Amino acid sequence: MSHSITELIKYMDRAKTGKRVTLKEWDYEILPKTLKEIAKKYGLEKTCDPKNPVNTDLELADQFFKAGVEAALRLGLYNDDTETIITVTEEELMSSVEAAPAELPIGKGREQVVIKARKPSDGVPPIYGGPLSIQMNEEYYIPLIETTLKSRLVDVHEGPSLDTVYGSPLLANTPYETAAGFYEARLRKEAQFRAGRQGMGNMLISSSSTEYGNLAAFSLFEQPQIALVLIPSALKTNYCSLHKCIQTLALGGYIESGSPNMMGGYTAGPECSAIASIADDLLQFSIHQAHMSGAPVYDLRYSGNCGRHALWSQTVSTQAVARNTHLIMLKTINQVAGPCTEMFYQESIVGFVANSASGLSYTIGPRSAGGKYKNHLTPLEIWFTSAVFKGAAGLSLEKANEIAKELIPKYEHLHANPPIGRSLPELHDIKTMKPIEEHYNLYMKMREEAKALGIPMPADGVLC
Amino acid sequence: MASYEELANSVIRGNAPKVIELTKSLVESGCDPLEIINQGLIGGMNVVGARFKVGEMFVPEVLMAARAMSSGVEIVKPLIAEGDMPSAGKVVLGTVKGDLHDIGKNLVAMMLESAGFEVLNLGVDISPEKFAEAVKEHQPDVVAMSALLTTTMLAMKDTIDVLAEEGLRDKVKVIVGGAPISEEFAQEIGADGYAPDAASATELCKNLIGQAS
Ligand code: B12
Repeated sequence: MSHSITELIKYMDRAKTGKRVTLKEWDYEILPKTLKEIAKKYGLEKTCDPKNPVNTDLELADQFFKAGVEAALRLGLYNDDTETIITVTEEELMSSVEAAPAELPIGKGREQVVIKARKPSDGVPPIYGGPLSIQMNEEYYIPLIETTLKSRLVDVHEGPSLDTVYGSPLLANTPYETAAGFYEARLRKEAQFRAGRQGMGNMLISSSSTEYGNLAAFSLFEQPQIALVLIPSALKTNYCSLHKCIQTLALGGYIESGSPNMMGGYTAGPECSAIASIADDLLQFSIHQAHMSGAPVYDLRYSGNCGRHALWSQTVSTQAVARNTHLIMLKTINQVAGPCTEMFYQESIVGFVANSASGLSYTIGPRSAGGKYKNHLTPLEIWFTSAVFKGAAGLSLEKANEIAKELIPKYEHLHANPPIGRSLPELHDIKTMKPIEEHYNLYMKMREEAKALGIPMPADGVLC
Repeated sequence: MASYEELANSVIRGNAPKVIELTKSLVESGCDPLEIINQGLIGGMNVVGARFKVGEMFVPEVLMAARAMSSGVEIVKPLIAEGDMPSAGKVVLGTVKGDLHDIGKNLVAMMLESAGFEVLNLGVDISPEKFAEAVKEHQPDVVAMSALLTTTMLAMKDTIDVLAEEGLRDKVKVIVGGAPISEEFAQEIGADGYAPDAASATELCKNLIGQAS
């Protein structure tokens, strides 16, 4: 059975009886050693070829899938709060994957879109949600979103996030989070209304990471909406995540669940991180009763994934799951350069083409300036990344690899010290939301460059 | 006879049994225990640190190397007079209240340990009071706080305030880091230092402790 609270409780019960290990044992011993053993067993060590950043060997992807299944069965998810491991049987894993939806309709009436599982080089365009939860001043929320949503390139609404509520600092894990859940939900509705997009689907909620914010936001929307269940880190869960899953199921929402696999961290190199990412994807459907998974791979050195190693790892793991299941995957594509920089556009072309061609179903973007700088997000980066993601539907993996090989050398030396670009008020007149000329010109120029690389770029419907 | 180079290489490979064997053999052949540590064990770890920095080694391998190094240190430690044992200093480290991001903090811990610091890693979601308790209990040279969220970075200031209220602020250096933190923010909240990454966090601690002594 899929998506049921009773199933979820069965796995929660297992947390009480599961093997007890310390966090250190899990992070430093069990996780890395198991992944390493599995990589060796399936002959996957040193298969990453940084000269070809997009994997094109689909048999290799299938081999990774087998390794990912074994990792899911041998590892399970570690529960941070009980310090125990929740494992699943092969039967449970496979039946939950089988029962998972291949299509999820979201939004009402003319705002409805269907998020679909895709295959590598699928001609059906993937779904784009945006913007990502990047911190914004309260007063910019409505102008940014009203303008952003005027473009039909944005199918589902997520961010930005706030760090104040009615002017007061939003402190994590306090009642300010509950307030933020309600407050952000109201701002969303207002901005969607102004953009003429009432009824569109939502990822809830950006400004709060806890179950309080989740419950607050869910209570204000007609269901189904998608809950953002970010687990503590790859192959882990905790009570906060389980709270959110139960709330979402009971209220009739969809669960998106997972966490980035940090390449260079506990999941080690690109091969082991790909195996962990596949295992992470698979386990969400049983232990969290998820409707879609979210287990991207980031390179720990720069917290992004548009460089060679992370891109390779993310493409091979996405292809593996896309070819061998009908699971819906959400993965983020993380730039490190900021708004109105050429590097941002180059990273975006590489990342969004590679992931679209690898069979990714859904993304939330962009992570301009690594998501680290307040107000560093504008509608133009959102529209551009969506146009590339959708335009790349149907492209071959070979073509995606060719594009990556051409563009990555232009920016990879800047990963450690990327240009952070400029903020929304520096790039737009907040009253009219008109972009400054330089910003507009760069956007139009980079659209032309993308077209010249062979990516059909759908129009944004606002500026072009 | 075993050589320091061989010992360093075993540390780099994270081969603890070999490190134990070589350390014992060096001790038995009468080598200076401090040299065994500095040239063999820490020498190996310095290479590991450098390789990690350029992305040639990953966290699990660095941790294995660190463990191998400690198993060697355990053997030599009893042979060294307490005051002579090389320790760069003691650091209490944690991610602040409300924040669960721990990857960057753990990297900082790892790099500090590799550079010879004694690190008390308190974990994530650490309240100002818990930091203060740890300072009382362990009397560190440095308190290091990590925050990745705009909604939790303010807890750094709360922690500094609590340390001051408890009369502990002057006894320690306070350093801060994490993606949204900047030098200006560090100054604004009255911290003694900020570092953008784990390698420079180690340098920062060395400098601050150097200044203090
Ligand atoms: C991985 C990640 C997660 C993982 C965390 C896994 C874990 N166990 O740590 C998960 C998925 C759980 C997560 C959750 C959330 N996250 Co998060 N996350 C990230 C991400 C992508 C990478 C962070 C990372 O590990 N980087 C790699 C390490 C090595 O780098 P680092 O942490 O910066 O550390 C280095 C330096 O900063 C420094 N350093 C770190 N600490 C210290 C301490 C000292 C003393 C010193 C000197 C130096 C130092 O040295 C380190 C090594 O070089 C960042 C994006 C980003 N660009 O940073 C977002 C990010 C930090 N997250 C963000 C958000 C919003 C959240 C959530 C609130 C999302 C939500 N709505 O639920 C939750 C919050 C959960 C919580 N209560 O803490 C935002 C923060 C925005 C903001 N300014 O506040 C970011 C920036 C993403 C974004 N918007 O683009 N996240």
